[in-house]
Formats: sequence, C-alpha cells, structure tokens
Amino acid sequence: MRSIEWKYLRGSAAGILLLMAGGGMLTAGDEQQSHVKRFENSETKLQVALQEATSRLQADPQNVQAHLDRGSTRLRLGQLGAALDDFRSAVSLNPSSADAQAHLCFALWMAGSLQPALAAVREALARDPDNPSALRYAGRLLLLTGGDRRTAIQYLQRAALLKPEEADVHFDLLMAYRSDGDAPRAWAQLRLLHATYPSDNARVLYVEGLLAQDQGRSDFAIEHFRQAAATDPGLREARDALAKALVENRRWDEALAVLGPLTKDNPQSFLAAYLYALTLYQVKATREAEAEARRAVNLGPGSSDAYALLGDILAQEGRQAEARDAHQRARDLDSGNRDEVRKKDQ
Amino acid sequence: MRGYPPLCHQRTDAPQATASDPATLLAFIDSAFKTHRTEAAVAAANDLARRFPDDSQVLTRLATVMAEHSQDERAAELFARVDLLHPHSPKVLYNLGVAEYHLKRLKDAAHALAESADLDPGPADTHFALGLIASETGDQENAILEFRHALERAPSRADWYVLLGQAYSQAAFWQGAAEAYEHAIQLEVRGAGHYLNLGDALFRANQVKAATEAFERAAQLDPNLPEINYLIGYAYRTQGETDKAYEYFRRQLTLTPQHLESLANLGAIEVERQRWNEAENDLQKVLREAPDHAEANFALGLMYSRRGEYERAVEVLRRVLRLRPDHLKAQYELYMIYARTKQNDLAQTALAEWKTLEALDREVRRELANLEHAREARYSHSPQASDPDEVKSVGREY
Repeated sequence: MRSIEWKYLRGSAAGILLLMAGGGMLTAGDEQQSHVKRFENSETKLQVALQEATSRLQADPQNVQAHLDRGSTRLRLGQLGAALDDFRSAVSLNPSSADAQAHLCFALWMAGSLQPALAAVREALARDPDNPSALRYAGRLLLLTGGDRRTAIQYLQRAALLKPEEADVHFDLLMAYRSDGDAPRAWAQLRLLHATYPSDNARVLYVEGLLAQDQGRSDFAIEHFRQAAATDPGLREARDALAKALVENRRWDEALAVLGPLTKDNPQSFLAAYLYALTLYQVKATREAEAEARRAVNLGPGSSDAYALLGDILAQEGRQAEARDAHQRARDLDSGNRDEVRKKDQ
Repeated sequence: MRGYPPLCHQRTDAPQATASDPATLLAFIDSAFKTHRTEAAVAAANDLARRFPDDSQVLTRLATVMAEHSQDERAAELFARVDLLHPHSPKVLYNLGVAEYHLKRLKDAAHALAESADLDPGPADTHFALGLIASETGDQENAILEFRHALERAPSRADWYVLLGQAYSQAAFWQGAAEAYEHAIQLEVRGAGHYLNLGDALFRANQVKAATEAFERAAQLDPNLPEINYLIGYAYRTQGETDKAYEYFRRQLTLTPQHLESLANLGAIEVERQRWNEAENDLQKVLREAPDHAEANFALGLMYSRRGEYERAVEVLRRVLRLRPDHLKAQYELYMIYARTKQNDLAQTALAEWKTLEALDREVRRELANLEHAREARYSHSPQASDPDEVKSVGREY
C-alpha cells in the first residue's frame, strides 16, 4: 500500500486565502436607486454598466474613471483580457492614480500574474499609502507569493483600521496570522468573526475548522468543514478542505461521497482529481482510480505525486512496464524539483 | 406570502360549467376548486382563457382565482399575459411577482415586484415581498431596506418586525435587531420566540441585564423552550450573579441531564465555591464527552491550582492554551502558579505572554466597537431619509 505523501497538499490548501467575499454593502447612492435597478440580476446589471461606461468612453476616450468602471465590469463578466486593457489605459492616462494601479493589480492577480500584480500594488501604495483596496491586495499578495509576512500583516491591519465596516478583512488577517504561526492572534480574529457574523456563517465555520486542524483536532475540523460546505456549497475552499481532511484521516467512504460531486463540480481541479484517484485506489476501485489519476496527471503535469500514484495503480493492475514508466516520471520530476530548489538556494 | 387580496367577488351559488358569461364561469371554477373537483375547474379555466384571450379583465380575475387555489403556474402565465396586454400595471405585476415567488422563480418574482414598487411604491405588501426575496437570496442589505419600507407603510405587522430583526441579525447589527424584536413584542406580547430573539440580540449587543429579562420572560411564556434555562443561567453568570445562574443551570440539567454547557458552567461555579468533589464530578462528565472543551478544562485547571496541585494545574492550563491560544484567564493563572511556586523565569515569561494577550484582548474589543459603530452608522439613520419612495397611498390595497 502506498504511503500518503502530502508534498503538494501541504503547500496548497493551507495557504489559500478567502477571495471574493460575499456581496458588498449598498451605498447611500444605491439606496436611492429604483427597485428595478437594485433587484436586477447581476448579469443584467453588469451589461447595463458596461454599456454606460462604453458610452462615456465614446464621448471622452481620455476618461480615466470610465476606463476603471468598464474594466471592473468586464472583470466581473469574466472578460479578463479586456479588463486588463482598460486598467492599463487608465494607468497610462493617469500614472499618478493609486486607484488605477490598484485595479490593475487586482486584474493581474486574477490572471494569475502574481509578481506583476505585486509590482502594480506597490506602485499604488507609493502613490497613496492609505488606499484600503491596495493595502488589502498587497497583504494578500505578499502572503500568496511567500513575501514578508509581517509586512503583509501590517498592510491588512491598516486596511482594517481604515475601513472598519469591511469585516471581511478579518478573514484575511486570521489567515495571515495563521500562516505566521501566531495562534493567539489568529484565534483573536476568530473571536471577532464570531461576534460579527451569524453562528452558521459558512466562512466562519471554515476558518474555525482550519484553526482546529492546525491543532490536530481533525474530527472537530471535519465537522466544521462539513457544516460550512453544507451551508454554502459554493464555498470551494470548505469542500476542498473537507475532502483533504477526510483523506488525511483515511475516512475513505466519507471521502468518496464528498469527492464524487466535488470532481464533477470542479472538473479543472487538480487537487480534487488527485484526492479522488487516491481514494478510489484505497477502496480498490482500480479502474476508476486509473482514469482519475490520468486526469490528475493531465491537470497537474508537474506533480510527481500524481505520477507516483498512477504508477502504484498500474502496478496493482499488474501493468508493470507502464507502472515503471510512471514511477520513473515521478522520480524525474522529484529530482527536477530538488534541482530547482538547490538552484534557488545557491 | 399567500393570500394576496382577491380581485373578484366570490359567489356562493353553484353555477354550471356550461354557462357562457365569464362571471358565471369564474364562479364555477372557484366553486369546483373548493369542492376538490380540480380537473373540472382546470378544464373550465382553460376554456375561459381560450374564449377571452385578449380580455385583460377576465384574464386578471381568472388568474386571481387560480392563484387563490394554488394554481401558481397557471396564475403566473395568466398574469404575464395580462402584463403583455396592458403593461405597467402595478397590480398585475405584483400578482405576477407573488405567483413567481410561489413557484420559487425568485429572479422573475423580484423583477416583477420591483417594477411594481417603482410604478407604485405605496403598498406595503410589495416591499415586504421584495424583502422576503432579498432575505431568501442572502441579500441582507436589500432585505433590510425593503422590510423597513414595508413597516413604514404597515407599522402594526409584528411578523414583519421579526423578519426585519432577523435581517439585522444576519448583518450582525444587534442593536437594530433588538429594536425590531422589541417592536414585535409591543405588537404581539405573547410570542415567547420574540423574547428569545430579543434576548439573543441584546446579549450580543452587550446589554446583558436586559437580555436576561427577555430570556426570563420567554421562559415564563413557554417553559419548554429548549436551552432557555441555560441561556438565563449564562446571562446571570455573565453579570456575576452566580447564585441565580447556579439555579438555572440546575433547572436545565433537570430537563436535559447531559447538557454539557450547563454542566461546564455548574462545574465552574462549584470551583468558585470550593466544592471540589461536585466540581470535579461535573467537569469530568463534560470532558468525557468533549475532551477539548476549553472552558471545562480551564475550570478544572483552576480547581487544581486552588487545591495546590500545581503540576496537574499547569498541565491542564497548558492544554487550554493549546485549544484557545488567546485564553487570557488561563495564561494569568499559569503566571500565578509560577509566581506562587517561585519559578521566577517561568513566571516572567508567563506574565509577558499574559500582557501580550491582554493587549490583544483590548485590541479585539476596540475593533468590535469599531465594527458596531460602522454598522450603526450604516443602518441607524432615519428610514425616511433613505426612502426614495414617497408614500403616496399608505394602506392602499389591491
């Protein structure tokens, strides 16, 4: 039986920050809007906003705010490339605007370009050190890119101070303290979240599960992840954490029940595919395990774990030559990774 | 939300389906539904709709009858048809929205109701329906706004105040929630559940004495409310009234002997009273069921410390700090033990750690106060000031 290695997993779910928190508050201006406008479904709202911003730009192509508005709308519509164009235009039209740099940062981040995003947010903070959005992005990005945690925490603390009504920043702070190994402060943030959100809030349940998991209280953590996922099935982090915790604790049947739907809902998730393959392998569903492991290999071609698992599954099926190839590939990737680390160290 | 006002008069005679005038047919349909002849009613309704496809008056009355008899799909179709024939009627849009709501098509419902509210912001029911939809879709901001608009127009609806309170609770604006529940109570004093909600909101708003009174009133009205004695006990304990707290925890345990939180609190009080055997007995019962119960562990650690069993105390208090690394009292007790046993280095370290936690605690309290102020600023302004809908026809009914 293959021993479970958590090289990939250790570095992933634990560091994920909670992105895209729930809907924002209505502003005083929103309250004055018509009922139809306030209750429009978001797609319609976005299309209207897109048209409005485009009209403003047709009238005045140099309108920086219109570029920012259209970029934000495009971003929410999933038009990442077009959004980036707008934000870049805004930056070039008004290079001294912290807002424009902050918007550009967020779009770059969403595009997965973390270092350029970090560079953009640094530009934003150079122009306005108290821009709350920039502070929050900077804090999160520093954590995501393995940057200086203390600086990240300072940014997030400052964001919380400047915009106390944005309670969501306390989720970020909790995760930041957690990654910094500062358990008292992480738990203090949880106390704050408990007092701020209803007791059945999915994100609070999820982070409480994470804190308990850090203490090795896996049953408690699993229960909380389960409740979080049931309360808000759209909270991907909670479902991932539940699946991972069940696998780590070798609760295979429960893991199967969670991972089946999870892989269907997130067909592009390497983590879900890998865990599902591992679980299927453990319950001796070898053929399904192989299919899932191959999917994991396709989704994460650089993962030695996925190749090693595929090799184990093939070996169990008696396909030794193919198993040897897969294991060899895993070893190559492993040594490649080690070389990479050594180079970085040097 | 069912039961929106009918648009036609009902007749009590028993007309025949063969009748040709719409009024007779409508009466027949209504009567057939009432006597459970659903197939005949539906057939007659289809016939009527076929015969008068462009008569919005007939179709509206038919749609209303269908809605009253829970034929929501058909009602929605008919109201939608009327909306096509005569667009922009707030009445029709309201009824269409309600039918869509019953069909759980919340987006369509919201669309119709919002248009209705824009055309005629007067009727309270429209705002209430919008509030309900916003609440069900997790949009607490719009829920609060619409429930408030509804209550400005119909201030005697206790049930609507409860929903406003719930929306405020979801938004963690406890003071607003408490005020909404108080209004509900003023209108409907017999609701034990209202007092329970009020107590919870007041407790979270740090008005513990008022919360205790609300819980006690809830218990008077319904002694069988689950956990009510525990809640009263906990509220008394928070105020330092341990005798009363003790009494209520006991009462809770008489009703539910395995109530862990009551046992843990009882154990903690017994530690304060130096009744070691009872304390240990209660706390161990909790820890057998929930070994990670931080407060039961803390009370046990405190007991060992008070009995001079310092080694055991340190072990248990360290466990508490592993479970709750921000546990101020556990850290302080640890410092006291090291100081009493003259372990100066450890005492200094423990004191420094306590100071850190104490500063952290103050920080959290300050941030909580900031959050509460931000919420107050967000929600406490005069509802009229934020209401773009001039009340043109308060109390008007469809």
